Amino acid sequence: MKNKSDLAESDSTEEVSFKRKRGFRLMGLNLNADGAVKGFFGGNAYLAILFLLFICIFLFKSAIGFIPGYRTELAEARISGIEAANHINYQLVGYDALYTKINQAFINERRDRFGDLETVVPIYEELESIVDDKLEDEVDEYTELDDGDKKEASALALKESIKNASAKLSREALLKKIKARLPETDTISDEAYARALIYAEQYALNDYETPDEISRIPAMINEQMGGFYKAVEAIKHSDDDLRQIYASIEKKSQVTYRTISNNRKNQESIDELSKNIESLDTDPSNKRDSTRSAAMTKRIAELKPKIVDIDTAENIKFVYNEISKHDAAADKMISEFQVGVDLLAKAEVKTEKSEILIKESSRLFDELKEISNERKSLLAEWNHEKPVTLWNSVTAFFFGADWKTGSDRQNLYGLMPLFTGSLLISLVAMLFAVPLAIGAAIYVNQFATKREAGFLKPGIEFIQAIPSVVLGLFGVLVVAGLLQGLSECGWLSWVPGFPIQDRLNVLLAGILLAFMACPTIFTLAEDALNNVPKAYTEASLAMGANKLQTALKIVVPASLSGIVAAIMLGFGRVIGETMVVLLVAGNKARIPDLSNGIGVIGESVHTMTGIIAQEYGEVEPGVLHWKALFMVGLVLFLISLSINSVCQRVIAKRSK
Amino acid sequence: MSNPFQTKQGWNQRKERLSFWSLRICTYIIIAAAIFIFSNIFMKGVPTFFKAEAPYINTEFFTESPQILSVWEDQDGQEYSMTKKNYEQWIVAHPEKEIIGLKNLTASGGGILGPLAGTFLLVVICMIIALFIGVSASIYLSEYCGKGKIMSMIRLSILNLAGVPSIVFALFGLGVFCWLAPVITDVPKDNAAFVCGWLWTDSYLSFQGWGTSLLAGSCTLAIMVLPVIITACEESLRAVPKGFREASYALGATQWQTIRKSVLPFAIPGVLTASVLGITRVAGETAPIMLTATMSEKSTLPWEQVEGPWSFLTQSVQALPFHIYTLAKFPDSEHVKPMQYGSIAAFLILVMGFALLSMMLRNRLRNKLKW
Repeated sequence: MKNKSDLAESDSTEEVSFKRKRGFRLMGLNLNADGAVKGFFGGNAYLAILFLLFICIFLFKSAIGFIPGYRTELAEARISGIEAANHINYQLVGYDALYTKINQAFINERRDRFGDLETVVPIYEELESIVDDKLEDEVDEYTELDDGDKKEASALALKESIKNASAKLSREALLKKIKARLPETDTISDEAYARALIYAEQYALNDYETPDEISRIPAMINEQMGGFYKAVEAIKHSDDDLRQIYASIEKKSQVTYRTISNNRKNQESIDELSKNIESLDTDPSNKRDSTRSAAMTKRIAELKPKIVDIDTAENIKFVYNEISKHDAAADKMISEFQVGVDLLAKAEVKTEKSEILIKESSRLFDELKEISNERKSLLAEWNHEKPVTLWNSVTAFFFGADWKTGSDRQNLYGLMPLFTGSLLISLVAMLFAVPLAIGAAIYVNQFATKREAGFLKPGIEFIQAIPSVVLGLFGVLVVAGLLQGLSECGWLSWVPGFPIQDRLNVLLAGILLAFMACPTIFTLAEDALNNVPKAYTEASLAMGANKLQTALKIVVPASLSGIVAAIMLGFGRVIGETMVVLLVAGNKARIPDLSNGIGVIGESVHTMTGIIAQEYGEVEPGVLHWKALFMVGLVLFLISLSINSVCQRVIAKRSK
Repeated sequence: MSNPFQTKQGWNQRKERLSFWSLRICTYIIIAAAIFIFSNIFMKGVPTFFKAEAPYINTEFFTESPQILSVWEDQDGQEYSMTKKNYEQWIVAHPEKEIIGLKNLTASGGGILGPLAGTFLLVVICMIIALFIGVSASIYLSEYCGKGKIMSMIRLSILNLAGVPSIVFALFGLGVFCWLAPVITDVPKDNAAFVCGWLWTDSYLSFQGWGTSLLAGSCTLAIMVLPVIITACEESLRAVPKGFREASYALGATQWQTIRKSVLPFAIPGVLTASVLGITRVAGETAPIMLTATMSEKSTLPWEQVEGPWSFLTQSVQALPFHIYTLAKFPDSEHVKPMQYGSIAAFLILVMGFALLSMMLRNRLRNKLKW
C-alpha cells in the first residue's frame, strides 16, 4: 500500500533508533505479530484464489477425457455395426413423424365427417361386456321364453336393467377406456351413448348376436373416407421391410456392441487394479497392505472370466449382408409412400386443420426423401474399419443431434438439442424481460417522482430474492394451467404456437425466467442510466428538448454500452438457471422443430443445466457419461465466463 | 391569434404522455407479477400453518418430518389421505373397508422440520467457512495488496466467477467433495482416486470423497458464495475513507492496529450486509445441495443417531429447497397441495426475511455512514 511504503521510507532514515524490534526474520519472512497477521490474511486470500482456480482446472480435467473416451465408444459402435443401424433408424424416425402427421389428419377428417359415429363402436363394446357379465342370467332367462306377452314384458324389463347397469358405469370411466382406443376423444356425446345403448339392447335381445350395424360402422367409415383411407393404408405398411432390416441388424450388433464395451470396461478395471497392487508394499509383514492386495487380487479374479471372446467378423458379415438389402427396402418405402401421397393429393379434405397437416406432411415427405438418399449414400460408403478420429468425436459432441442415455443401446452425447433448448428458452425470456426491465429502468430513473422510485426500486430488486425452485413449482402449479387455458381461448388463436400441445413448454419457461431476469437487468441498467453525467441532461433540457426527448435521445444513447452489458448479464443469468427449466421446460431432449416458425415456443425441450441436474444421479465418477456431463458443465462455464468478462469490462470502463 | 407551433407541440406532448404511460405500465407489470406470485403463494400456503381448533397453529407441520402420504378411496367413493403410519393403523381399525387405488406419495405428508433443520445446518456451516475465508481474503486484497495489474486481474476473475451458474459449482462440488475429498478410513473403497497409509496407524488416507453429505454441501455452497462475499466485503472496506488510515499511521500505529481500530469498525456494517446477502443467496440455492447434500426421505433428524462430529458432518440431510423440488413431481394431486403451498410459503418467508434484513441494513448504512 502506498501509505505504508511512504511511512517505511521515513522510518528507514531517522526513526530507526526508537523502533522496537520484536520477532525475528526467517527466510525473508518477518515473523512478528504484524507479519503473522498479514500471513494469515494472505493465506486465506490465496486459499480462496487457489480454490477458484482449482474449479477451472478440475472442470477442464474432468471434461477433457470425454473426447478420447467418446471416440472409443464411437469406434466400438462402428465396428459392431450399430452405426449402420442408426443410419436406417434415422429414416424410420422420419417416417414415423410423417405417418403420425398423416394419421392425425385422417383422424381429424374422419371426426369432422362422422362426428361421434366412431365412438359408438367402443361404447357399444363396453356395454356389451356389461351385458355379458352382469345380466347373463337375465338374458338367458329371456331367450328361453316363448313368444308372447310374457316375452314382450320381459324384453322391457331386460332393457330397463341394461340401462340401469350401464348407468352405473360412470362416463369418466367409460371415456378413459375409449380414450385408450381413440386417443383424441374428448367427450362422449349423449347421442352416441344412446345409440350404443340401443345396439347393446339389440345384442341382448338377439341372443348374443352382434348387430350388423356395429360391424358395418368402421368399414362404412373407411369406405366413405375413400381416397384418404386408401392413402393411409398404402402408407401404413410401406416401412415394413426397412424396419425388419433395422431390427435384425440392431439385434445382432447390439449384442456385439455390449460385449465389446463390457470387455473393454472390465479390462480397464483390471489394469487399474493391477497398477494399484504394484504400488502396494509386497512385504507380507505389512499387514495393512497385504490384506488390501489380497482383496484386489480377488477382484481381478472375479473380473477376468467376464471378458469373453467375440467374433466380430461374423457379425459384420451379417451386417453387410443386411445392408445390401437396404437400398431396395428404402426405395420401396419411398415409392409406396409416394403412392399414398399422390392419393392424398387427390382425396378431398374438408377441415382446415387436416389441410394444414397434409401440407406439412408433403413438405416432410420431401425431407424424408432427402434423408433417405443421404443415408443411402452414407450406407454405401459405410465401412466398419474406417478409423474414428478425435475430430469426429469432437463434432459428434458439439453437433450431434441426439442426447440419449440410460438405455441398453449405445449412449449418444450430442450437445445440439440441449444447446438449442437453452438458447431458445433464453431468447424467449429476453424477449419478455428486455422491454419490461429496460422500460422500467428508464421510467424509474427519468420519469418517476422520488417517492414513487422509492418503492419501485426496492420492490423490483426484492424479486431477485425469490428462490428459483419456488418460482419453478409455482410455474408448474399455477402458471402452466393459466397459460394453457389462455392458449385455448378462441380470440388468441392468431398467436403462433397456440393452442399449446405440451403443458410444460418453452414459452412457460421463458415467461418465468423473464421474471427472474427482470431485476438483474433493471438494477444494472438503472445504474448505467444513473452514471450519465447530469450536465448532459441539463444541457438537453436547456436546449428546449422535453423530458422524453432527453431521456431517449441523450440519456439512453449515452448509457447504451451499460444497458447492453445489463442485457447480456441478464442473458447469462437466464442461460445458467437450473431449477426453473428443470421443472417447467418439459425435459424432452430433442432439437426443437424450427420449421413451425414461432410456433416452436409451444414445444417441450431440454436444457444444458437441466440435463446435469437430471442425470447426475445415474453416473459414477470416471465413466463416460460423467465426463459428458462435465463437458456440458464446461460449455456452460465458458459461456457464462465470456459473457461476464465482456460485461464487467464494459461496466468497469464506464464507472471510471 | 393562433400559435403556428400549436399542432406540433400538441403532438409532441401526446407522444410524451404516451411514452410516459407505456414506460410506467412496463414498470407496473413487473410489480404486478410479483404481487400476483406473492399473494397467490401466501393465500394458498398460509392456511397450512393454521388449523381450525386450538391451538390454531398447525404444530404438526412444524414439528414433524416429511412422510409418505397414502391416498385411497373406499368402496363408497369416500376419499382418504393420511400419512403412511396412520394409514397402517387405519386399516387395522377398519377391516371392513375396501381399499381402492392406493397411492403412496413421497414426502407429501407430515411436516417440514427435517428440511428446515437441514437448511439451517447447511447455511450455518457454509457461512462459517465462507465468511472466515472470504472476509480475511477481502481484508488482504483491499488492505495489503496494491493495485497492481495482477491484483486487478484477480479481482476481475473473482467478479466473473460470481456470475457462473450454480449448477457448475454443483458439478464441481459433486466431483471434488463427494467423490475426491480425503477420508481417513480402515476400508478404502475400490474407486478411490488415491490411497496411501495414514501416518503410522493401520488406517488409510483415502481420496474417496465424503459422499452425499452435509459437509460436502456446505463446502460447495461456500465456494459458490465466496466470490460474492469477497467482492461485497472488499467494496465496503474500500468505502472507508483513506484519511482514517492515514491518520492512524500518522499516530504511529502498525498496519494491523490500523486495520483493527480504524478500518474494520467502520466496515463491519458492510461486512454484515455482505454476509446477509450471502445467506440469502445460499438459502435459496437448490442445484448445489441437490447434487451434493440432500436426500428426499429420511426418518431421523440431523442430530439423531450420530456417533461423533465426523458422522454428523458426513450424513446426508434433507433441505427445504430440495423438499420443494421433490413435491413438484405431483402437480395434479389435490392432497399434496397443502404441503406444496405450505412449504413454498415457509421457504419464501425465510428467504424473504433475510433479503429484507439485508436491504434494511444497507439502507441504514447509507443513511448513517456518510463521510
